[in-house]
Amino acid sequence: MSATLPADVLFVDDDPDMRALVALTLAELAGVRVRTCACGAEALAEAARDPPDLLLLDVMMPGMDGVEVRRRLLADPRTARIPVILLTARVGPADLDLYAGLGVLGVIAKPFDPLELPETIGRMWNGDRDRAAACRAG
Amino acid sequence: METGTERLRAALDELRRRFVERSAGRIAELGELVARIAAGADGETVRAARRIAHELAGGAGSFGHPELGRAAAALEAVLREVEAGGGDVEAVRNAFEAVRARAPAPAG
Repeated sequence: MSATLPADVLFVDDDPDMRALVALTLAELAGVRVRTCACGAEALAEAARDPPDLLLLDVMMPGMDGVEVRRRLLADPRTARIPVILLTARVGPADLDLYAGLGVLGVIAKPFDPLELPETIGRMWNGDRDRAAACRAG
Repeated sequence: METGTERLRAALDELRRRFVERSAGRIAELGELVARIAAGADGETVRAARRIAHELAGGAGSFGHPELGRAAAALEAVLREVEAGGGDVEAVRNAFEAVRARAPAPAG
């Protein structure tokens, strides 16, 4: 594993199998602390209570979908600066256009190879930090 | 002594086993919903079926069953057309049969 990773990830997905898979691979392969939530409302409360380094967010969930969760995160000063990566099977052209306006670090398409997930997240995470450093350097 | 890699592999195998078990229930539920759609069910039934198809489409490939994932994605697309007022029942039935045909067999 060459890329550094966020130490604390909050993963939101209504599918229990997916929550277990992501938590296992990030924890075992990369030593990441993974908290999980099963719905958008739970995620908003948890993110405000204890902001994670990164929020990994499913899009299609019952009730509040991931797009709405992202919008509400941005509207709350306690959560507006939390970096977000979307993890979703909805990756058609119209979907990607929509996500482009949400200010997320990236979009990971389902299905994905769980063994490659830490590396994929690391690339997006480090790419964002590189851009921030370039801005600071002027 | 069990190494970290062996421990991870064993844990992944257990998750895959649980996914296969849960998939059987999801596909059975899908079959009931598709039968109701064929009989003229309401939009809520179509949405429920699409949600299950979506879960399978997203999860199956990640758990080592890409053909099931692709079939479920095709079913999800057909159900989305039905939700939008198009599509037809025969296409839903056919897409569901493709999903059922690719259901992974439980181990052992």
